[in-house]
Amino acid sequence: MFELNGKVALVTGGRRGLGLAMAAGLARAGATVAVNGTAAESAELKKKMTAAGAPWAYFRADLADRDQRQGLVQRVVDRFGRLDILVNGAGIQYRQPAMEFDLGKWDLIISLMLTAVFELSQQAARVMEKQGGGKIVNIGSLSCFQGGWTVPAYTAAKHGVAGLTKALANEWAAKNIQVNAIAPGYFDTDMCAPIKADPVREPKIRDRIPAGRWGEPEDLVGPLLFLASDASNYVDGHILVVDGGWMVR
Amino acid sequence: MNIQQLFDLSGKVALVTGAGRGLGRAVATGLAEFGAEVAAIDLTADNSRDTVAAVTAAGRTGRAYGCDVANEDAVQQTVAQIAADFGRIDILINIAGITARIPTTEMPPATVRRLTEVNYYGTFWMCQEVGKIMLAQRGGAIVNMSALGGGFVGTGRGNAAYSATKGAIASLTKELACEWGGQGIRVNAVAPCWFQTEMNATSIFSNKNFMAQVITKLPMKRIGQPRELIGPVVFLASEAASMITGLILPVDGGAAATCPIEWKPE
Repeated sequence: MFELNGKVALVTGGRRGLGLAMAAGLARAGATVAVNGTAAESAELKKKMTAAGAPWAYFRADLADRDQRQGLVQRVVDRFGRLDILVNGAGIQYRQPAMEFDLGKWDLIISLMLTAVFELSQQAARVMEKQGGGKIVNIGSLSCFQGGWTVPAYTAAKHGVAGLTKALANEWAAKNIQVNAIAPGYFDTDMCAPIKADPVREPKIRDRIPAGRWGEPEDLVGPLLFLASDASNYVDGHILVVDGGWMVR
Repeated sequence: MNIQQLFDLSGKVALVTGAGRGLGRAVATGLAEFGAEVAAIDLTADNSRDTVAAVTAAGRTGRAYGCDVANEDAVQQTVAQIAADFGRIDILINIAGITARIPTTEMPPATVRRLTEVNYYGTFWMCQEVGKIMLAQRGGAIVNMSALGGGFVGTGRGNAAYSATKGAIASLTKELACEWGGQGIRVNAVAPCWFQTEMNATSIFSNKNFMAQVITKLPMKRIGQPRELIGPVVFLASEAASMITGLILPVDGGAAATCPIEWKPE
């Protein structure tokens, strides 16, 4: 029920961090994985994906650039023959008080984290419709629900992703394409490193998490396999919070 | 941990209430298929005969227990008996529930009380008793049964009292997630929409008008099948959901997220 043998997945932002953990998780469950990232292939990526034991390939493209993202799904289909799972994971963070927030950074974040999610979903759904179905899993954040602090572009993009998840779920449900999202809480990644290292904020955050700990990248693999597999065939349009209980407190 | 182990329930003891039929039977069977031993509770032990047979067919130990979950003394005794028989309880799935579809102004008080006692008190007593065992074990996973009407949407279907119990279960789930989160116990709920079960057979699926509306209003254009609850429940009960607690997971063909309206050009 949770196996992905014979499936082809594309993970954007899969070169490192949570994206890499998710790409490797899909591969360990049997999927062929197309990993997308902006920078060149890294040794860590090669090591983790090779260890996962399924066929995989790296597709370099900067998804903030419309020209580069335009043909990405087609490149994957040309290489692996089909596309069953799309994980929209690419994202960046930029902190600056809203009053001074750099507008170039605003445009970049909205383009990469919202517009690209829509465009890739659109490309993928056209392929999935012909195949008779598919799974799209967007990566949200607690910022799908909360405002955050000095991260207005990130929050706007993630709220947008939550809305887009529901809108696309609604429109594509009858085509057997399920669109859901995962909203990770506080995870131990490079993106959260400044908070994790903050001696004031870190204990405050940890104390508020009912599970009493930060998430590890591996904690996202189970939820992703659930949403990417037949186990969730009647779950659609949901933003699945993986946060050790942060949101219920 | 390898991927197979992530969802594997081998060596775990699962207690399922309302296990005699419908969603309870499907879920109890599914848990066994993923490796769990199953203690099946229903109003009478005899009700769970088919469920125990299915668990046995999956190669696992299954035992049936008769217990009215609305009665706290009965719950206390039955949970103690199950703990004695199996040695531990790792997973609690609270599915026992009843419904009544009567307009609110005509709803008899006795019906409101019985709905509340079975659905809400039943879930509370089970969490309380099994919670003690899980706290002593310093680990466990609870999955409660909320509903689409339990806080996501109002549907005006003449079962306000039922929906209120499901909202209470959602609140209980979140409270217990916080109370027990630091002690290795995860508490989550599923919120199904309309599933093809015996409970719903007479009240819903015989009503053609209602069914036509369901088909129109659910994005996936179909009702749920009991086995489609297995994936979500196994996921929440397993290590795969190790960082998830306090979640109310809709299993609803997209209903909670959306409001589909068919548009045709004039």
